[in-house]
Amino acid sequence: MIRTGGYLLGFSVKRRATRRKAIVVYWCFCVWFCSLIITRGFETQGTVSFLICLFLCFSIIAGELGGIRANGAVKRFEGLRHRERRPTFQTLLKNEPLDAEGTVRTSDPMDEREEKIRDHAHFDAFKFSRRLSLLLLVCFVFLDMSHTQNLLHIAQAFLFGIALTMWSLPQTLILWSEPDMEPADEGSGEAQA
Amino acid sequence: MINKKSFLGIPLARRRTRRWMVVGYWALVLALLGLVAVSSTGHHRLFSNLSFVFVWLLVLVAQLLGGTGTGGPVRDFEGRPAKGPMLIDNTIKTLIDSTNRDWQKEDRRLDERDIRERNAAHYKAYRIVVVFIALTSIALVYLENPDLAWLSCLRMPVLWLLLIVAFSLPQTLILWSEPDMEPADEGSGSHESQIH
Repeated sequence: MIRTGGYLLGFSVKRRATRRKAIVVYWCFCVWFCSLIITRGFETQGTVSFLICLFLCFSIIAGELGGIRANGAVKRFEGLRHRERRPTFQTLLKNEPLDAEGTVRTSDPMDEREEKIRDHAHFDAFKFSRRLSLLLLVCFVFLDMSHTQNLLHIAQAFLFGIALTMWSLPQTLILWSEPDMEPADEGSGEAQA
Repeated sequence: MINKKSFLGIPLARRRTRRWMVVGYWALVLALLGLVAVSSTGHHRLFSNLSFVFVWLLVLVAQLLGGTGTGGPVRDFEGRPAKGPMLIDNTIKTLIDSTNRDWQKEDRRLDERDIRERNAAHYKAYRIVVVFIALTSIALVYLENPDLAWLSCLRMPVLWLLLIVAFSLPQTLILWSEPDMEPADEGSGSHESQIH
């Protein structure tokens, strides 16, 4: 489920302990970023900055974890589609394998085990999000009674936080819970020997 | 994943009937959200006074399809035994079918196939919910515009819709996509006859 040889925020994803450190750093960054938006973003810069922040968060920061795009730490959830393309300069630099016809073939569909892990991570993430959205509504109803004038800003910030959380929660769960990679490789090496 | 033959008098064996039930469910949700929107404008005194009732009804409706241990047509996702039916289900069930108490003895443990279906439904639902939340947050930004002040009454209904989607979208997908029950029963019957 995790791409071998991948890196997350400069940390290697092979060892679980290292992965967990990377995840903690990632979520600290997200919390800091969200708090910045809540305290300053809406008041000073308005709609455009919000949309830019949304775009940046969704496409770049959350994409680092993978799942939603191909080159993140976690394999793409849909699996990589079969592609054939002509080798480019970058391909040669990355030393990607070429077939007999001189084309690069990329195809990495999910196997049954990976699909099981992916779906289970989404189930757990959904459970958490359900509770989070309930909490949001309770907060919102209470704020509706006391701070009606600031309600819309708070609602946007809450939704933004939930969206960012949901965008990267399944990947986080997978990276957090998958075991180390090296022992399995060693084991297979020994088995082969 | 569906643990009942009928729910509130609606037979669940056929997929087509289930789909109609799901459509009816979402129509009910949208109708209630419309009432919440009307009540939040404050122009209609009757609706304003009833807003708490609408909200309470939404809380009940959000649990109607099951999945969360409340006695709906979809099994509890955690496989927990039912603590008891929820108020609305119990009341309507008593009115419609007072003799049928089988739902109290249901075995709610999930087998491997159930777990696979449950997780797959959550995977699909999750992707929809993420997109929905992203769109909602952008929509709320536009509701801030003074030119669209007349749309501000949609703020609360949109958040309620978010909650209901989060609570009942996987159940909806399960009820929508599960095949008819009869062929499986017939199949098992023929399988039994083959064995004999």
